[in-house]
Amino acid sequence: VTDRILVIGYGNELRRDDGAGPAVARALDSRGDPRVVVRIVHQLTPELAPELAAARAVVFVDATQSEKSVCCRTVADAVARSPRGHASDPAWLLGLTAAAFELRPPSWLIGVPTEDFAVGFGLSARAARGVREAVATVQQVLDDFFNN
Amino acid sequence: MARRVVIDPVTRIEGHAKITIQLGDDGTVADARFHVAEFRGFERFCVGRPFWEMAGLSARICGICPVSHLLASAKAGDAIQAIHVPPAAEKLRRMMNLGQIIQSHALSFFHLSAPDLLLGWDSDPAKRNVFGLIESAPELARGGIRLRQFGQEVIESLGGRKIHPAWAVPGGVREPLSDERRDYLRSRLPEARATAQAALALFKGLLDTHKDEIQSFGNFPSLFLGLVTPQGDWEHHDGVLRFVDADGKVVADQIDPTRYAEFIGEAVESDSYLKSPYFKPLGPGKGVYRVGPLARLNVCSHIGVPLADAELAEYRQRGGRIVATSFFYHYARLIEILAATEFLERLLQDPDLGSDRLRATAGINRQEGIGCSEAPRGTLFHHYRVDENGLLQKVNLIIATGQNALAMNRTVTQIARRHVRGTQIPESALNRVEAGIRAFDPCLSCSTHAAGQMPLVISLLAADGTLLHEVRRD
Repeated sequence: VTDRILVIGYGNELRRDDGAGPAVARALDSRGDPRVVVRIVHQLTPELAPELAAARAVVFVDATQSEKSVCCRTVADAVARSPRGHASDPAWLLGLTAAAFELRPPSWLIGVPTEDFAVGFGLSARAARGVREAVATVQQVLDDFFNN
Repeated sequence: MARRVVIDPVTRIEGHAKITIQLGDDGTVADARFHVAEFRGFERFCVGRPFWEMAGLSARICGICPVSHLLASAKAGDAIQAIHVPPAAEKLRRMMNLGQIIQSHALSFFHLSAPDLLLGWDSDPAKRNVFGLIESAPELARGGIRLRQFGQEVIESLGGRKIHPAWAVPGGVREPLSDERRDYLRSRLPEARATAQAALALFKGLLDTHKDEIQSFGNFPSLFLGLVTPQGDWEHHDGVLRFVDADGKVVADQIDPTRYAEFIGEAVESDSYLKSPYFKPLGPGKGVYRVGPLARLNVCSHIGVPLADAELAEYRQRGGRIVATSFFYHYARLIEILAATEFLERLLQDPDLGSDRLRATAGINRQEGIGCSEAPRGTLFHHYRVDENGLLQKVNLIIATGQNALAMNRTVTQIARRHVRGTQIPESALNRVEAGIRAFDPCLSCSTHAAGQMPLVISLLAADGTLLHEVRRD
């Protein structure tokens, strides 16, 4: 286990606002914080489990349509189950990490409010605002974690 | 009354499909078919685009094997420009394809198929998944997760991302492999190889407990197609096409992939969007052929690396010089993972990789180009025709899963005849039918990632389409 926090921004950047998670991750990566490892991925695939196991804590960043402002909640690992359909989620990935590597890094999910998932590049004004707020939220989570 | 049993969707494969089992009047299985119900349309909507874009565009066909489309497309672009790519670029492309074979085969074996093999066909479906595998064989499961991670890291080290890397381009590749990543990948090789060897040992130990499946999972004579080197050895990126029959007779050899249309016909079935290619000289009835790991090991003389060749010799002792049972796709997959680690080791030591000559440039020197490469699931063809400005006028893609379509129909029929009785399908029989398909590791080009079990609906329909019975597994 390393001393670093893993930040995973995930989503499809060819589906406009679904790229909000990657946008937040990219902004954080540009800050060059040596305490943070940033990953930008399409989906939460099983081979990320070893990286979660090696992290001191994990922050997931994803687009959400159900929130009006940036939300932050802790994530607990799910009971052992297969992923549903073609997508996994943070709880499933944490569950896989716990089952395979017997490690449960503390984890948070940051939701970025979004509205436009049409085919194309670029974020809507709402998502762009959300990304700016989410970057600050993630930074706060990181600071709180390291200060405690 | 004749009845049909429909399994929809088929689970733990890449994409959505359904299986229809047609019962005859006497209640026994008359026929079975594997359908692909999705329509993608890449061959149509890419028309009009510049061919230079195709490598990046066609990589979007699939989230599991984007590299295969990327490489075949780049090679078609090479042909349109009538150039040879620099040696370093050719070797780097090979390296990426080997990473692709490792990650895709690891997903297929450890995540999708090993739960059936280790936990048993009749085990609790709720536990027959990767978590059940972890509980049963934790070291192997961990190794499998990390093996796939390694394959993805090879791709990411070269292309900058593990899914949809727009790295290979007509004429070569965009970026070299850094010394730091080269050293890192080299450091990961021993563990990857050890995992492949452990899985092979485990699989061989399980063969006695799966004798029935070896006999009934798509065990029939067919032709086999794959790339080989000009000397007849295992090949995954260049080389020539070879067809062998079930007796080991080479029926067509040393075929330049640009001549594929002389040997491969493409049938269209009314109940599936998947094309059904066949060996043209024999027609669609007798010309059924298989591609992928099983076929590649059948068509080659040797693999060309010591550890994998030793495994190949044992594999042939167990299955014969030409292995007919599709159950051995799993076995062949593991041998190919081992081979890929050995070839990667060679490439990582190659001094050519340090070259900064990575891309040849040229204009449009031909108005037709064909690229061929071995995807994890089998031989892949990209065929483009362009106008004088390089805009695509025609695109034809022949994918591995399509080439296995006719063989998958036969496999489902064979399994269903053995395990399905009457109008009810028990869980054990259902999973065997699915597992027969899963042995081919079909990729339905869904551009997403299926790592586990999807909801399953089984519908029993009368010949007139009336729903007789439906079973749902959530």
